[in-house]
Amino acid sequence: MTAQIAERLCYEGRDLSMCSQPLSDYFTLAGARPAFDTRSCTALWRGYIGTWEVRDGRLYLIGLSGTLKEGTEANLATVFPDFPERVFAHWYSEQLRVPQGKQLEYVHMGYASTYEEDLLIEIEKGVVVNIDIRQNGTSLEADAPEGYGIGAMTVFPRKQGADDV
Amino acid sequence: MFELLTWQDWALAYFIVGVVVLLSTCVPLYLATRKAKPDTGGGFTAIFDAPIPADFLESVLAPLIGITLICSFWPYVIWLKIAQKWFTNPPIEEKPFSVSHDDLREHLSFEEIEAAERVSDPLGAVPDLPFGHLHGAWERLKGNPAPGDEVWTFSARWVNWSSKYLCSGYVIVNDGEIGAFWVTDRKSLDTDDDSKKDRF
Repeated sequence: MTAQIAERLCYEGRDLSMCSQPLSDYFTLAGARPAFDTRSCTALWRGYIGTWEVRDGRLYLIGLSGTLKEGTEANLATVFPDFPERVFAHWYSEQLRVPQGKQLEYVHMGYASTYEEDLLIEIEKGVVVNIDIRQNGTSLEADAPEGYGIGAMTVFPRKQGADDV
Repeated sequence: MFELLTWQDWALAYFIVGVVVLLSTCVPLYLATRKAKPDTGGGFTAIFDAPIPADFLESVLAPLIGITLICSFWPYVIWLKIAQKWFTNPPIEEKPFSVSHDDLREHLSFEEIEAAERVSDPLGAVPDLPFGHLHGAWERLKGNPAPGDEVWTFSARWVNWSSKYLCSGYVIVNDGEIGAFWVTDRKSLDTDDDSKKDRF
């Protein structure tokens, strides 16, 4: 599995890469999932990128970009028609992992690469209950990549009518 | 009779068997692919009618190398087929989550649950309904309650592939029979290192 493009997180005025997928939990619990185009990019098997925000101690989904199988663009209203601007992630009770610092080890699979530290935000029913920073080590390489990134991906051009059959 | 055959005859026979193996390997694969995705073009003829593909390596060179290898080393292909059929372990099947009587925790009324599962948000980013954005799933579980339907909470461990979860939610029980259930919370029981991997 190719390294995956991260979700976006607005946290304390910073735009960060987040290696957690709270919307996947939503789709699982809700028992329904829009038909995202999951085949066009090997680094985006989930078919969308969500933008999240921690505001006043709560986790919100504030944006979504992706493409549906039929070729139309997906946004927040595609999943939450009555809440096109902001969605409280009350279904989520897990830890958010936000890698920071220089890359220690690159692993071309999922979110398995490691970085100097992880900002860990513990969420319980959409509410922040704990924040911690895990130190993973110090990079000795001066030119090590800074911040989350993926090394390679393959993007397949969409074929006309390919998904119509 | 065999002493009359030259080495060229033997080579030709070997090659012919290779072609048979190639066809018996590739034709079923082609037919299965075609059945899975109906052809919008003209089948085999479309291959020849198509313009020269831009990706020469993927569309021409790789198949040619594959054909050459199969025709040349067909005994190995036959061995692979035999090994696949007789010596390969059966695929691991994912065990679907289910609720048993041991997992049942508390019997509640629909009204009690709906009152307890109200979600609110100061920014109004959630519907004022039981279970908030998950209200639709709750409505599906409730359906049209049949006489004798009871709703219970449950909590159960589940191993999905190599990941462990603690699942909790609600289940319909009627006359002791476990019915439809809905998982409302799924906590990972994996270690931190496991949780770095992509979930779901």
